[in-house]
Amino acid sequence: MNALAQVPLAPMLPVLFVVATVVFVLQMARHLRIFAAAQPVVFSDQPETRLRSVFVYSLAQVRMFRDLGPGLGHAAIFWGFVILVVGTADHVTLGLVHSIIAWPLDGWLWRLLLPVQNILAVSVLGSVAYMLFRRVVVRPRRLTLSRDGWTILLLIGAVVGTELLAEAFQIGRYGDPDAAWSIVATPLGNALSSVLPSGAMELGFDVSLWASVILVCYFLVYLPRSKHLHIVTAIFNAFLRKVRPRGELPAMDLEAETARFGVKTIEDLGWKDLLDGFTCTECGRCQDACPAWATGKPLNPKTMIMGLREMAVGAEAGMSLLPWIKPASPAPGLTQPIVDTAIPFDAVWDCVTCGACVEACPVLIEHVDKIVGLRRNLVLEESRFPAELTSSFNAMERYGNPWSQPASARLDWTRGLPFEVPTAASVAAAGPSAVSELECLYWVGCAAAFDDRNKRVARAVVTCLEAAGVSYAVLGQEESCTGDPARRMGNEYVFQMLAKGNIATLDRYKPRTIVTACPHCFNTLGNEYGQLGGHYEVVHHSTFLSRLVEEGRLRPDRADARTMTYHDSCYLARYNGVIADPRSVLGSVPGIELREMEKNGRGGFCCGAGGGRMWMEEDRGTRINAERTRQALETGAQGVATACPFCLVMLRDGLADAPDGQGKDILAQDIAEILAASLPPGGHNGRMLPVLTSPG
Amino acid sequence: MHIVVLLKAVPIVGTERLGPDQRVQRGQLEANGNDEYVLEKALKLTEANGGEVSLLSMGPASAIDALRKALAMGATRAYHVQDEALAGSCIRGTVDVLVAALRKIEFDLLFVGADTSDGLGGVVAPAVAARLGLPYLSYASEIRASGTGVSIDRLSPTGFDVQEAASPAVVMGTQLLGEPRYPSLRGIMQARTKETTTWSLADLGIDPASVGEAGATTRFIGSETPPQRSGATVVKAPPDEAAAAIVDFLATRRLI
Repeated sequence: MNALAQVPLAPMLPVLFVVATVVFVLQMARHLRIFAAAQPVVFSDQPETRLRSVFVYSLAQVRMFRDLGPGLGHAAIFWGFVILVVGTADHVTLGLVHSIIAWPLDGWLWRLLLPVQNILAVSVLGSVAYMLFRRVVVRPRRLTLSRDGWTILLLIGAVVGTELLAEAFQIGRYGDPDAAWSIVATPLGNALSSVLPSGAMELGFDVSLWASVILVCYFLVYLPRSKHLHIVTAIFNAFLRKVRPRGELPAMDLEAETARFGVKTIEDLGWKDLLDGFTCTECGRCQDACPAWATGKPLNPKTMIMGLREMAVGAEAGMSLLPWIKPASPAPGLTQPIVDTAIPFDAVWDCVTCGACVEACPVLIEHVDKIVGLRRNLVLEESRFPAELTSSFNAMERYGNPWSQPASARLDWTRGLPFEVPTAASVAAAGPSAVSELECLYWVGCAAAFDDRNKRVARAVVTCLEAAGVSYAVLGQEESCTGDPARRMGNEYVFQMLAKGNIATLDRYKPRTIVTACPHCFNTLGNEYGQLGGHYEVVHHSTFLSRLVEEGRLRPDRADARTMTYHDSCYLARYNGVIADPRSVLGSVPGIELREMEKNGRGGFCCGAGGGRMWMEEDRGTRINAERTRQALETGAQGVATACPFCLVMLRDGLADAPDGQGKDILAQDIAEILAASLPPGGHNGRMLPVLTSPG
Repeated sequence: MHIVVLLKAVPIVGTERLGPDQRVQRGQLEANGNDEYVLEKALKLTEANGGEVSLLSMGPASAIDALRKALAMGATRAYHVQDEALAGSCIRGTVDVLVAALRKIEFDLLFVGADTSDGLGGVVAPAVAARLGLPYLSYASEIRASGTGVSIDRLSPTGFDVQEAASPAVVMGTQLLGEPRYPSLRGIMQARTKETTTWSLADLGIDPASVGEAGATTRFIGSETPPQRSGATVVKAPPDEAAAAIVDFLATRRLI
């Protein structure tokens, strides 16, 4: 007997559902019309990676489990939703789904489904209670207690609750041949029928069934305006994610005559960027990970994405639900500038482009590229940026480095070394292919060439290369800034100018491998120069040095009996996955005991100097390097190792300024310095150099 | 309102090198820093009151990069006096050339920077004013322009004096006028097609023998690179001790 047929107005169940679906589709279509106003997005590349992303991030939801409690709760609700949809579908089709599923295997498929449904229904209710508890009692900072949040949780609870009740009333009143399999609903139904008269049981069934269908329909209509829309969009967001190296900023044609440079309005964003907004669940994991937010700055990656969504929704408000009815006035949200609407001007410049937000987001929202897009517009079109950047831009443009030093000073760091550091020009005198026959070209970088502290790192690097008998050369005066800081500060013009110059130089020498101690040079040379036609094999010195140790070409044997903590550079670890190599270099030095900070590897915390912030004042909030230094000191380590010239300077300063002189006896050092100091005196050919005589 | 800004292309500060002829090499050039400050003020004034800004420069072919950058900042056009015979000109020769060029341009105001980072003569502005018979307002920390005249705040030991003149007039400005802007990409692109007029000495009706090294009133004797300095005392100590050490150092030399 089909109990559904007993429900009053039963034929209206499918009708209501169809109406709700139509409203849902029309609202979604309106979202798509906003997408049409935005820039095109390419997603035809790497289909396997994209499909794998859908599986890993949308179905397995691996990033959710980094916070275990909410991860499990979310998984219960997600799988509950997937399975319970079957029950809802059965109701709105007046039992059709049941008939279909019960047909194969003599009804066993249906019978197996029942206990799963019952268990999941209970776990969904439990999870909803847990999540309400988190919002009301635990109150983690990253969550905002919004009406939307309440509505969604209560709706989920109510839908699942009424569905379970309907099943219980049905079994209790009308019985069911498979009742034994409904392990929750059957005992509940029997309990109810033992206390309620049959008329009340019938009424209970009618009411709860109708209620569950009405709630589901309401959910459908409500969904497109809610953060809960991620149940539809997250899968697409995972598929459409950036599959190019994360450290590669979008290419830009500076010769395009009519184009808008950078991002000013939501029309200048790609439609995937708008999809990001419609996918955001306001979970706040990005906010939790953001070093700018953690140090009290106005930047909040979460509210920026929410702000973009609000702008998109605002623009939609000017559009009618039915596409054939033209609105009286054009949508205002489309032409509004994003800066100072979705994100304050200052916040645009607070970003260190460390990518912690992107790494944290469970639904693969990409914040950094948007912020750089905004910076590009502010710099290239409006010349609106923090005043101190003018001198950095001018320095890079005129001197080819942000330190305003003449190219003639590029080899000053080699003075006093007991061996000659060969330049590519001198090597090339032997023949046009002489440089490409070298094992590597050491890309020194501006920091190591001009910053006094980092000059010692350059000396340590060449000491290691010499000790291992590596054939190498440096570009010397022919090297200029890779353009990384300019690019991340939004000055694509200066970036391309510098990059083209370097590409011309490198293409002339055709080095086999470029080794650099700077993760920013490493990322830009390796991941970004390809956009301008420069394709090179680039290796970070941590990888190169660890390989030399592994091959036995370097044999560190002088003990360094210190506990050390290693600070991951964002552009090394998070952007490029180089995590083990610097640690293996440290591990090769006898006596060093490594102690990890809580935030390490891909989850590392920025030193505060990325994204061009090295060249900006940090006058909002507290200092990021002070916070990172605090985390380093917490490990109790006696030394802080880095593999990035910016991190090195930031942590050195952080240690010097640490409260109560806690950092007084603790050195910040590059891994190359630590390695060089532990090499046997005399070295491989008697040319060793004490690089660490005057630390500080 | 038409404002002409004198702009000199100078070697990039900090990278100056002597060439084989013992003269300062003029390879890569940038706009003289002080000139950018008066240019910025000229742009602000024309943006607020209407009008145009023209640039006038005397220099080698490579000066065009500095002019393009100034055009990218927003100037309307550039006049570039360029002639082989000009190399080695003295201040008198330079003034002759600039005056001849300015006689070909109708302008309301002429803005000049305080001095140049390579020459440091600091007399071109008053000399040009004297030769053209125009009022000369100097050391401006603020400039206000009206349709018929100009008034400035002139730096003085007690604050500033307000000076006024009817146009046309010559104004020499200081860095207190405000930071020069950074050109936008659109500005850079537009600058590529902006009008630049190149004048030779013949165009200005000047005898080549009267300018350049041949016609110079001062003579270049020679130059040499100073020896590397050594023996500097570097104080490395916490702030309090370092301050005390520096004070002692100066006091023992009777410098304070």
